[in-house]
Amino acid sequence: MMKKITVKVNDKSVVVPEGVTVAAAVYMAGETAFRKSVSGQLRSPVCGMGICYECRVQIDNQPHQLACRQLCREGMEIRTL
Amino acid sequence: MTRIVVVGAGPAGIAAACRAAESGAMVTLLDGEPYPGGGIWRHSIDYSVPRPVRNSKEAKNMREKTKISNGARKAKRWFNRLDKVGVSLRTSETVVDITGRSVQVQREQGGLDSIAFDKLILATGAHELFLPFPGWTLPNVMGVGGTQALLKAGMPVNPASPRGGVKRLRVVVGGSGPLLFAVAASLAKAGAKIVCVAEQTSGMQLAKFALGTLRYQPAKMVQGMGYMLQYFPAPYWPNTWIKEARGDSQVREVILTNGKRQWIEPADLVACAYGLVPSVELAALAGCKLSVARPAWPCFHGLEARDTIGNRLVVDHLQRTFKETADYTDYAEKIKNKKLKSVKSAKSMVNNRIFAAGEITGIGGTDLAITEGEIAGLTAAGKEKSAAKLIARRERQQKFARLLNQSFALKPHLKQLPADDTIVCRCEDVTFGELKNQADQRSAKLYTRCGMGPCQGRVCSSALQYLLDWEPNKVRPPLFPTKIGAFISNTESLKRKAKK
Repeated sequence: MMKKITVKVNDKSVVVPEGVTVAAAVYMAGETAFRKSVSGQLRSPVCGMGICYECRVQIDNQPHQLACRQLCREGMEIRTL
Repeated sequence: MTRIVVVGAGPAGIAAACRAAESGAMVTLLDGEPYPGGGIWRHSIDYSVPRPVRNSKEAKNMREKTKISNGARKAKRWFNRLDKVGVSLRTSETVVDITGRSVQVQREQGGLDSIAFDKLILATGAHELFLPFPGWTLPNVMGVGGTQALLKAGMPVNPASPRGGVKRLRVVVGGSGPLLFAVAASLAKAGAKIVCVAEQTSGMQLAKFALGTLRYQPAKMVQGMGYMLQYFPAPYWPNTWIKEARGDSQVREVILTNGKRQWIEPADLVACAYGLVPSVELAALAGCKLSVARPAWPCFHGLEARDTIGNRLVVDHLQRTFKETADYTDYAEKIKNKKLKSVKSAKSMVNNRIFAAGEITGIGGTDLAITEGEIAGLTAAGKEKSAAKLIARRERQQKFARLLNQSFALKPHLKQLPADDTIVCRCEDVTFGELKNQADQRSAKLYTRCGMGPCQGRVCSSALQYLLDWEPNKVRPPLFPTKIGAFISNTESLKRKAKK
C-alpha cells in the first residue's frame, strides 16, 4: 500500500499519501484559498504546472514557494494566505 | 563525445534524449517538475507508470505492482527506454538562463548550476491559454490541464475516495479542445460530478473533427468515445462558453452562454482553458526565430487560418531552429514552391547547435511531438540520415495537427469576454479597463505593471495577444523568479573555480 506521511497545513495535521504535492495537501486539509493577491483577493492554483504562480504558499518558513511543484515531505509546515 | 542538453522531459524531450543517447551522445535531460513526463504523461498518484528515476534500486521498487491505463502504454515504453539508455535525468531543475554554450538551472532548493552543451534540444512544450472572464480569479477556477495536473497530484474531489475531501465537487468544464473530454473523464473517474462540458467551437466543426480523426487517427476516436462514456450522462454542449463565474471565498456558480441566451449552472470547481500556447521563452532568449506564420515544412500548404495562438518556433526539416535574423518568409516561400535545392543553401540561416521539438514548434499533440523529438535527437547526435527517414511519418502526423487547430479555432465572441473591471494580470491585479486603451504590451507594462509579476506575463500576455493583438514583450533573464542569493553563491563558486 501507499506509504502515508504527515504534514501540517496552517497548524492542522494532515495525513497524505507519499508522493502528493504540497498543493494536493492543502486541498486535502480543506483549504481552497492559497494566497492573497496584491489587492487582497483570495487566489488558488490555475495552471498546475509552475507558470501562473497563483499557488504560492509558505513552506517551512520560506515564503513564495510553489505548492504545485513541490512534493510533501514528512513534518513539512505549510502556511497559506 | 557530443554533450547534448535536452530541456523539457515531456514526450518530445524524452524521445529526443533516448534517440540521442542511443546514438552515443552524452545526454542531460532537464525538467522543472519533480517527475518526468511533461503535461501529458504526468505522474499520477493513482496509477503509476514506471517512472525513470535517478537510482536503479528506486526504479525497481517503483515498477512493482503498477496499474497501467491504456493511454499510458506508449508512455511506459518510452520511460523504460529512457531508464535503459543512461541519460542523466535532472528533475526539479528549471532552466533560468542561457549564455553562449551553457544553460543555467535553478535547483529546487534555490541554488544555481551551469551545464555546458555542444548541442541543445528545446522541448519546453506549451502552457494553456487562459482567457479572462468576470470571476475567473475566484479560488477553484482553474485551467483544464491545470485541473488534470492537480488531480493527478492528489487533489481530492470526493469525500468517499481515499483522498478525502470536504464534499463531492460539482465541476463545469469549459473552453476548447479535445482535452476537455479527457479531463471531464478523469474528474468523473475520481468521483467528481460533472455538471456539463461547454465547448466554444460549433457542432459542425466538431463533426468535421470527428470525421477527420476517423481518417487520420481512428484509435483516438475510440479513446474519445471512451472518455464520453466515463462522464456520462453529463451533457457536452458545443457552441457554448463560460461568460462569468460567481462566488464568495470560492466559485459557486457559472453563467453559460451560446451567444443567444444565457443560463446558470452550479459549480464548486471550474476547469476552463482555450487550448495551448507554445512556451517559447527560453528559445527566444537563445536567439531562435519565432513566428506566428504557419509551418512551411512540409505539408501545411493552403492553410488559411493562423494555426496556433501565440508565437511558435520555426524549424527546418531536421528540427533545427532558425537564427533570429533569418528571412524565414523567403525560406517558407521557397519550400512551398518546392525549390528544394534552396533548402541546402538555407544552411546559413539555421542554428546548428539549437534544435526544437514538440509543442513549441506549433501545437500538434503527443505523437507528432515524439516524432519531432526523435528527429531532433538523431540529428543532434550526428545521425542525419536516420533522422530523414522519419520525415514521412511526421508529415502524416502534421495532418492531424492541422485538423486539430482548425477545428478548435477560437470564435471572435470570446474577445468580448472580459469586462472593464475584470482582472487580466493576476500577479499585479491589473484590470482590462486599465489595459484596453494602452498602445501595446510595453506601454501597458510601464504604466500599469501588467506582466511584471512573478509569472512574468506567461498568463496575461498570451491572453492579450489574443484579445488586443499585442505582441509579447521581449524576454529577459532570469526566465523564472530566482533568488538573489542563488546568483551570489553561483558567482562565488565560479570565483573559487577560477582561483584553482
